[in-house]
Amino acid sequence: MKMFERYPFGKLAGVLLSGLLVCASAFAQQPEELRWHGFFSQGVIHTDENSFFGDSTDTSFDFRDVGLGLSWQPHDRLLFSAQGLYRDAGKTSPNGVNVDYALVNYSLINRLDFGLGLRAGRVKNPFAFYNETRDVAATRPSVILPVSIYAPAFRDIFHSSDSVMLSGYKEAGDWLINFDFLRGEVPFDTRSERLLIPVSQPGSIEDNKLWVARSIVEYDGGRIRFGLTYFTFDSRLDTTPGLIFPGDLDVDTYILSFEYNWESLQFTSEYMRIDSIYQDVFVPGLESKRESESYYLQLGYRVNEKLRMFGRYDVYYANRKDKSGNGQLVFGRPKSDGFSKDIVVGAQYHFADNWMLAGEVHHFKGSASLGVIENPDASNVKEDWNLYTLQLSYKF
Amino acid sequence: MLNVTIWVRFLITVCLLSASNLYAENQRVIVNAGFGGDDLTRNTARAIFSMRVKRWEDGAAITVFVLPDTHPTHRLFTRETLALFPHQLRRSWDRYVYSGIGTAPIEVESEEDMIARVATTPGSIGYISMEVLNEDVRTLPVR
Repeated sequence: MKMFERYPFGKLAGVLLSGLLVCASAFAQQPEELRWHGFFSQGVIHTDENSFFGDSTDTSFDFRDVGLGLSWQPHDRLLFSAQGLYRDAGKTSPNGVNVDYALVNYSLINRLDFGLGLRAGRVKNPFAFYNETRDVAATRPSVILPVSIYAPAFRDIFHSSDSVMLSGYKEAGDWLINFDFLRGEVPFDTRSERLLIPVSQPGSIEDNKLWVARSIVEYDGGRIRFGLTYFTFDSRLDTTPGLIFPGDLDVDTYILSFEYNWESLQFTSEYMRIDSIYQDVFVPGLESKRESESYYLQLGYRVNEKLRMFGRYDVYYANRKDKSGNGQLVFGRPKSDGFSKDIVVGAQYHFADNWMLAGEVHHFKGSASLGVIENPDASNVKEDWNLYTLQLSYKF
Repeated sequence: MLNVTIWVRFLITVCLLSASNLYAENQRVIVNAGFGGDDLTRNTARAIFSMRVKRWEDGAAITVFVLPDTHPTHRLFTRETLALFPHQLRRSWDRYVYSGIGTAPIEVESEEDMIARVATTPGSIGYISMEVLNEDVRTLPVR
């Protein structure tokens, strides 16, 4: 594994890919072998209290996604693909364009009833129902994904990784069993390291390892879907003693997903539990464990193929044994950072092929879904707040 | 009185069944004339049009052609032949394309284009609502 440590999969794949894509454009015999795709969205957010994606109490336009990707299929078993992403989500997003994914897919078996394939490079993690397409507005059930499961604050840890992945499916009658196994590492940078190490302390995240296993079982072409995700992340927090001490962090995540489609109605629910085990981090020589718990219940109604409406109830507790958030005070944060309850109603209107306009209204109780970096002053954080958003999006 | 109710229900059922058969017959899956099989099961058709299965049983690559999401023939084909909603197919393609693990079908503008592309692309599949008069294209029943 020495070589992989020196040349992370993502970088290696990125270099390989750019070379291959240049060759591809020169040698592709049929235009179908080489394909472009992309998407963009621009949103506007207003909150009556607290900042969400920019200075939202004054109405923020810092809510933008632009993606451009290319895939090359030189052979029906082999697919190279890469996507660059520019994302603006106020202070919670990285600067500039990032390699969103850059991978090679090799199909080992692709029969009707059974398939198996290998992937390597920077991949989108197989995580619950929506993670892999979370930046493409038109694929989301709402403008803002349920923060209970897809918290913007943890995006950098859960979203993608430099990995090797085995994926497949097995069909049995009306049932289709999809499965993915992944082994890799999280591509931290100096900004995302701050999710785990306080800003006031120098330090970095070392030796991080990631394993993910997910299975999604579909019945009758996706009328009913069940999902189970197990995600485990181990790392060493290398820092000088301060608010926290150097030590180990192990994160075990379990997600149950369920969707039921009946005529024009769609019911979706996901439940997640994250067990974070800190060794020496809070008190040298001691192990401490925090168990977060979250879920959402969502009901969507498709008025016609163009218009969809939905309602959702979304709940998150940073520590299920401290639901009122008393433990947050130790870190100089308000108690309301320990939980978030969100009631949302919204609509999505596909007014033309590839175009969508979406809007929604949120009522939040709790501030756990806010970025600390955008709300640094604990005394200004309000527990009760409302969020209004509109978003225009296009994809091809 | 009860008999009348049963009879009315029976009539409605017959009407509904014949109506759905009428729709089904109007939708034709078409393949390039080089294809060796006689029919497709609904599950096979779903697997192919959702872009999960990319090779025929003999190992040849499949090329899938579709009409735009809002095209009446596309909507009817998805609903009646595949028994899916157009947005379900779209979700599956989006997941492949935007996470880099697969591709979407090739979109053509009209049924005439569909016939022309299927006729000239070995291993290809599509669908139409009209009669085909092209010896390089075969229609295929979906069971």
